[in-house]
Amino acid sequence: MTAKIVTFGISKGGCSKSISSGITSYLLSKKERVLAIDMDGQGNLTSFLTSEYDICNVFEKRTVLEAILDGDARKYIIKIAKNLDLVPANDFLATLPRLMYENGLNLDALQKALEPVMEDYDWIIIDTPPALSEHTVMPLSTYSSAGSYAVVMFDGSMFAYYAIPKFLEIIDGAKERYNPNLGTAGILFSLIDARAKENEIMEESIDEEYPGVRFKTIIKRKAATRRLAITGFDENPELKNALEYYIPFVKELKKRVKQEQPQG
Amino acid sequence: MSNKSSLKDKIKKPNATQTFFNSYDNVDVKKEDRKETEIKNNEEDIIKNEDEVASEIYDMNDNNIDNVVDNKNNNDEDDDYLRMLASGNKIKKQKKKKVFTSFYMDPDLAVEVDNIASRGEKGDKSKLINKAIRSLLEQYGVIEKSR
Ligand SMILES: Nc1ncnc2c1ncn2[C@@H]1O[C@H](COP(=O)(O)OP(=O)(O)OP(=O)(O)O)[C@@H](O)[C@H]1O
Ligand SMILES: [Mg+2]
Repeated sequence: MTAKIVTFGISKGGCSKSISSGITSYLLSKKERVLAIDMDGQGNLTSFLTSEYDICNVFEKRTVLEAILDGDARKYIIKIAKNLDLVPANDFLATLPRLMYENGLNLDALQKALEPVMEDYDWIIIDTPPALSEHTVMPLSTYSSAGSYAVVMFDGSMFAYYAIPKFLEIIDGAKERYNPNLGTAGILFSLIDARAKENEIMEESIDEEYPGVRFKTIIKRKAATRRLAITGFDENPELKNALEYYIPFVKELKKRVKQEQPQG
Repeated sequence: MSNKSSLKDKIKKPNATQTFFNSYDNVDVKKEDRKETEIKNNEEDIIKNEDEVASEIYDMNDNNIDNVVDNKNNNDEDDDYLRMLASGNKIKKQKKKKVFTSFYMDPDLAVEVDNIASRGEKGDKSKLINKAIRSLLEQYGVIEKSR
């Protein structure tokens, strides 16, 4: 099976892109083969999945940066669990734009690096930084015959609200130029404080502005979810609690990307 | 008159996203520049290599231009090219730059344009839109008629 690509993004920091892409990768890997890719030099997805925080030393010259420059990701894949692999990132990913320029690489460089592994996975899940840059645009520009999708993260804040149309513009640009197959899987409400009064207004505003785009599942802020970065997934007694909202989200995501079959 | 200004309003200033994508339009041109410099540095068969590069660049541009946008400008360029070729001079031709822009289309038009473009290759949609707007603006007298 060719991999479906799902990119988590929004040009606003701290909207739970890394946690959400990490948990989604973990949950999907229970039944299917998943490759997670960290496109953020902060390396949060890398640390989340490997429990390794000394990322500069441990993954020195073995990251997605080298994978892109080599034009082949295969040598840079790390095994995380039975069906879960990762291409890590560290701070040196900051040099990507400069190195791409020097090597005459275009925005299809990630596509080229992933082509050799496209058939080895059912899902490729990509975490991006909160910025309009190569790190964000290349995942969105990566084509798959099985479909390529964006999940737009939204934390219910005013800043994120105004980042949504800008992110949708990036999606449009990537679609127009490189990836006609690209679709928006949906806008995911996350980190939602159960007591915030403006939640309902935000939901209505999004529904009016982007009808049918919002995921019905809302990821509420939860201490157990936050602690996952400390405790990890294995032998975690509160795992079920930590994943409570993500299980229905992943179900919904699968349904959405199956329904809208991309056109050739 | 009002038509003219409303059309002008629609030719929007590129936003950050468009500017980002546009900045990559130069990558191919830069690659060619680099190729040429490398060859220049290699003193052995300069002449032969330069000729090869020049004709390569010209071929690429020829493909890009296509019959559809065969306007006056291109004819002048072709003329210059041949003149240079005849005099045995080094030929350097700039790739025509495009700008990335987005706008809202009437649904019926969008369907037809996509239909036509789906039968062609990459870039044909842009060619069609450019041709349409060019002929409208010529008709309005906003730009000069090609040929
Ligand atoms: N559902 C949740 N409940 C509680 N805390 C959460 C939840 N999701 C994320 N967090 C916490 O919120 C913070 C921001 O999350 P995360 O790092 O995933 O955001 P991000 O969008 O990747 O940020 P950046 O833009 O910096 O990459 C982290 O400390 C994370 O542990
Ligand atoms: Mg992050």
